Amino acid sequence: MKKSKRFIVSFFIVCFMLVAMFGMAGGGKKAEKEAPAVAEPTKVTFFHYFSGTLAGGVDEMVKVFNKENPEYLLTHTPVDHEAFKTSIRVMLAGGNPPDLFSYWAGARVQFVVDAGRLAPIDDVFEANNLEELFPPAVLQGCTYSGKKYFLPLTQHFCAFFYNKRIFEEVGVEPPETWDQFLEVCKKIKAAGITPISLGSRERWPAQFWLDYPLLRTAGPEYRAKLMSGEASYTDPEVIKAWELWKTCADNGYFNENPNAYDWAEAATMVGTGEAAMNLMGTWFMQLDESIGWKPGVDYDFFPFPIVDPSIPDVAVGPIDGVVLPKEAKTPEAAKQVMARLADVGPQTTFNTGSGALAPNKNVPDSTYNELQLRVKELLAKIPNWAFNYDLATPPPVADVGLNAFSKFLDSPADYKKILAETESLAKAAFSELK
Amino acid sequence: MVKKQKAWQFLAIPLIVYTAIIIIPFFQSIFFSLTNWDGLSPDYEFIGLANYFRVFTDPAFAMSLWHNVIWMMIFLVLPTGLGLFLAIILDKDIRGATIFKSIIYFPMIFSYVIVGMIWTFVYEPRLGVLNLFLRALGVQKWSIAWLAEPKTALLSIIAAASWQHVGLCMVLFLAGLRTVRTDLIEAAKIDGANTWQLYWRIVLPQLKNVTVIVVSLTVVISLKSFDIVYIMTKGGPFRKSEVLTTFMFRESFWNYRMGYGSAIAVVLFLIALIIIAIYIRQTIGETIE
Repeated sequence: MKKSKRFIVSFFIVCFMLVAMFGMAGGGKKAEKEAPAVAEPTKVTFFHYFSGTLAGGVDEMVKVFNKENPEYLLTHTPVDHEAFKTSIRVMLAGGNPPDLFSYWAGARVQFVVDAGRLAPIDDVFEANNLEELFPPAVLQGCTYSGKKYFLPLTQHFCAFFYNKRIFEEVGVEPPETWDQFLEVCKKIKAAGITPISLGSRERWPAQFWLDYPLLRTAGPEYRAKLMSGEASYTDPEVIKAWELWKTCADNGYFNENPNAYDWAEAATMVGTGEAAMNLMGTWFMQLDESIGWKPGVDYDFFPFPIVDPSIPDVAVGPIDGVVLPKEAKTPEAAKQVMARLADVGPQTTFNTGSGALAPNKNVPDSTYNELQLRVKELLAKIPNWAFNYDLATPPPVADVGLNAFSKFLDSPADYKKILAETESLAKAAFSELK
Repeated sequence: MVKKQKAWQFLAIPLIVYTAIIIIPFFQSIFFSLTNWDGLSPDYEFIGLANYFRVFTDPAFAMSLWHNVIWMMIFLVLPTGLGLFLAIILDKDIRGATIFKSIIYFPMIFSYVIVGMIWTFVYEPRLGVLNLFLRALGVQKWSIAWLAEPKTALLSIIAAASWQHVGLCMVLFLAGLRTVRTDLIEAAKIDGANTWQLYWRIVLPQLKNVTVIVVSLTVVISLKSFDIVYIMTKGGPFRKSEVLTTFMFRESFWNYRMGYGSAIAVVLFLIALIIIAIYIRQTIGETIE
């Protein structure tokens, strides 16, 4: 009995000592902060998914920022795209988020805003006149429920990237209309080359094949309705768009087994000449080094062909940027960092080599390669901007749709059945949202 | 008395840690399974057993469960049987037995993540070893996209997992064979038992305890398998290789349904509990009798 008492007492003593130690450690930190002496830089943590093949110039951007702003120490943690989606959720729900994190503008930011996890940054926009820096399409992607929440870092645009040598050898020009496009595919196929490569193992690369046909035939307004659950996947509009996709599948214009490859593998098929073109975002250009070819010389791009000239033109792509969690530890410093990240310097370095356009209009044209300059020109002319499917519709619905796309690629003949199934699952997912 | 107290003193710290990282989260899962929490918002509502009703009416759940059942059946027959077979052969003093044992056990040193990556390369449709081999044999039509084909995706993953699991079964059975009483074998031999009778009547009954361990482990491993599926297919194509764990993960983390995901986790736990409880009770009961 005595022994156990002694044990309990000693156990509590140990616990007390541990608590005291941690308490003191915390106190020590506080004291440091208050000390006015040598101004130590305020630490700002930045958690993001610009890693691997999608890294862009984030390292340089952070370096440039820290050099230009010695009062802050921006530290960044890059994580793989898929892992990011999970970890950031755990961090947010656990009440221990980073000071800043990257996110995808559109339905995903809206979801986190609705969940009450983000802080608005209208003051950052106002104090720094950011509204004047960004084009209207980008500004739209910054605004949720009437407030600014999102600071854009990159704007990517989806189009067909094609192997110039193959087009020359086969004797075709980049098509402008859907009929021309099918003609080009037919000729390339006849030459024994796969016309279009598609790698949908991670599901999302297939989404542009619904986005563009739908936007080109039913227009951006209808598509917005479908994305918000006001229209049905069994509508004639969706069926018609899907049939355009099916035409390509039925004619064998895609490589075999799209579901077996990831986007980079499919893009590389264009690089090696196994396939002629690939419908992809401008991050396609990040593979330049690994493929060993040059933009404008070995490959080029053309926008998704026009199907119905009466439908207004629209560009599809994601906008990546930074958001501020409500529970950030140093929100004021984080806001300063955000304002600086909008500057020409960081925006230039971040987008160099990423293939993207910098949202800041003042980023000099010398940053861009020939292709990017033409993308910039093009975007200035296209009146509408649409986020790609998984950023346009709420995440639980996007999961349903992305599954449908891979299913379709596996058995294109069943498309009507797949659409009916998608509609009932999507409806169920919409009804659960708040 | 004193001994008991001492035991508690030693157990105190592991018990605290265990409570904090296993027991509390376990009850939290049960708690969240009764809510509609999205895993992100600070607030949620109690919805009673709605998530559980949904579990049992969701065809995606039924499909994932079916995949787990397939996995378990194959695992209980193939790697377990093969492991026993190899153990019996390699238990003899054959030359090079140690080398064979090491080679078969070798995959065990890899985590499922590594196994998944290795086999993803093996299954790669254009340049993967398997398809190159099949093409060399001249069976071009068999060289398919193993992990992208809805019919073969799950089986391909199970094959990869079995490759690793055989080693574990073999080592456990080898250890079990060491405990078999040699005097009984001698006696049986003198009585004129043939090899078949010897194994069926004398050796295998004595392996009962090891078999309990092997079967329990196999059931648990086949129910908890997540990493290898996540690495190889993420449950795709379109959920054709989804198992309960990846289904739970998808619903909780990708589809913002933490409440529903927790309900799936609880059901998964109950399934494992029931299977193992029945099995252990059965075999231990028999042993005592």
